[in-house]
Amino acid sequence: MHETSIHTIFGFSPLWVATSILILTYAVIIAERFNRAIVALLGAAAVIGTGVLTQDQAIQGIDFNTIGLLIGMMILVGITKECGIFQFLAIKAAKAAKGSPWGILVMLSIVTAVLSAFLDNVTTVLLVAPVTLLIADELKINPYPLLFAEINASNTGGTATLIGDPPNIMIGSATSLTFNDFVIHLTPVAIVAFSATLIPLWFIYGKTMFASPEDRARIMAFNEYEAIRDVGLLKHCLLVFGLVILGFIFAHSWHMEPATIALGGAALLLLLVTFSLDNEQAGHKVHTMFGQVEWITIFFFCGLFIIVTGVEHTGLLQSVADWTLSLTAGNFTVTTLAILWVSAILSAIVDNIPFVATMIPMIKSMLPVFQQAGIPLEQAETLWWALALGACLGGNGTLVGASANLIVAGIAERNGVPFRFLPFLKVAFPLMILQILISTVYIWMRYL
Amino acid sequence: MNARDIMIRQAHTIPPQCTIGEALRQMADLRLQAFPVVDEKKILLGTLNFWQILERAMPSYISQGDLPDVRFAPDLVQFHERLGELKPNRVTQVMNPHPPCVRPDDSVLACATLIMKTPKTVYLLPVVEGDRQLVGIISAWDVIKEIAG
Repeated sequence: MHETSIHTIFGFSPLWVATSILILTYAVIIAERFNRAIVALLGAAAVIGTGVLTQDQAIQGIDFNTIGLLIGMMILVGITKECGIFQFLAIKAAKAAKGSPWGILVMLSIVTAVLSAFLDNVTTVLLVAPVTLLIADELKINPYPLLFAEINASNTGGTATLIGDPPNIMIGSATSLTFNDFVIHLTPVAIVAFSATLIPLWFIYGKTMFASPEDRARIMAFNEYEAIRDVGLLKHCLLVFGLVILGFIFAHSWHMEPATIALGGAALLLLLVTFSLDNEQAGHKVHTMFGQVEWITIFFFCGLFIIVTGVEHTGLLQSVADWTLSLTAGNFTVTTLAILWVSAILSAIVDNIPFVATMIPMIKSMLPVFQQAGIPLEQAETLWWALALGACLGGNGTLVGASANLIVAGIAERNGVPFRFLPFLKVAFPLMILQILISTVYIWMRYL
Repeated sequence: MNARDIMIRQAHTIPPQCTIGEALRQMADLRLQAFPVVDEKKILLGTLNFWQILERAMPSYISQGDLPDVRFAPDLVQFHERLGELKPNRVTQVMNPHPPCVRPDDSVLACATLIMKTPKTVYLLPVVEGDRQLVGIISAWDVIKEIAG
């Protein structure tokens, strides 16, 4: 427990004040009545205003590595999407499937999963879903199965790397786990979970998907190279993305954090795209590109980090961690699998970001207990993989499980394709359980 | 200079029972992008322009900008099917029933401001008196001619 200089606040212990702020903030966030960034910032202000944390302690609680990595990747993706590469890849994938509806479902899912592993999930589906609707229109098929598969692929692909999904970014930042660690430990299980999901999808949707040869010929007539809107920009983006990925791979040996690499890459790409412009034009361009950053998400993170630091500071999370360990009787296997399953179920229902933000300090305080019990550090780190798998794959369980789900549903609804909570749940939840079962077997066989 | 001084008095209008297909043919024949829709007493019911018809015929992932560029597709079967379904319908289904209007005494600057604020939808500004009685129309060209001197 951290030392706190204030013993009571309005007659209440700081622990109760911080806990009340945490519960109230999370309740209002879940109710979705107000913008989540505003709620998180108000919660953070309350943590400082009531004296649970000083301003300096609050600022120290913000994980600037997570913030920097998110901002850097948002700028990189914001610039890259302008060149049309996402549409190019989607059309290329559809043509590679020779216009077959099931083949297109598989290929678009692969494209979505791979892109989501390296980019923000929301951006990926925001760019792939409209092309999917067009392809489905041309094939005269129901776009629902394609969009459903893309949602699943996006969350599953995002699980595979450190930069794929915010929970992984947060875990990577809070620990010494590197980009390569995530690839070694999570990519294999993400690939298996993704592939296994396609089998039930074939029986549920694939068997009945059909398009006539004339309709398929229309897809084959698409010229994917016409989707590239700016070849010069594309070359710059590919160069910088290549360097950034190399940077992530070698970051550990260069003693650099992912945020430095992402922000450095964003700055380099901004330099390249504004190099030939005069000062005024460059200023305008940079202003527009910075506008691509989702500031709501960034401020949401800042607020959450402060609130969680508040409860951590008062010792609440240590108490909950101790209580959890007493429930699992300190059994490492039970604790790991409990984290996996509880993370998955909760992430299917509520935003996984606040959940992971709360879990990270709890798991940090559990690690020494297991190490003292003789569990080697590398094995104890399984707790992080359980948290990452549960939090990321859990997003597949319901329509509100992840932002990408809601984005696809929104685009689909606008185009007359109903995406309802219960019909989605009926297929998505069992598929999520399948993926968590696969993760359980994977963790069991590899680490326990 | 007022709207009255630059407006076209003998504007081509279409009745509310006109179909979208017929309106499109008239647009093509007369090389006009927009018409006022008026009843038999010349009361303005709305305006119809080519952009409104295009927006309805395009799948919304294109018209709403989710897919900003479709140069990769030689043709879109959906567009033709939707346009075909749209053509037998009356223009009242697509027209803007509350278009921006000006009064005969409004200044040219006021007309220019309206066009500037809604450049995508204003292909013509109806000039109305009293209870939406159409007395003329002003196109962007009329304003340009006046500004150019």
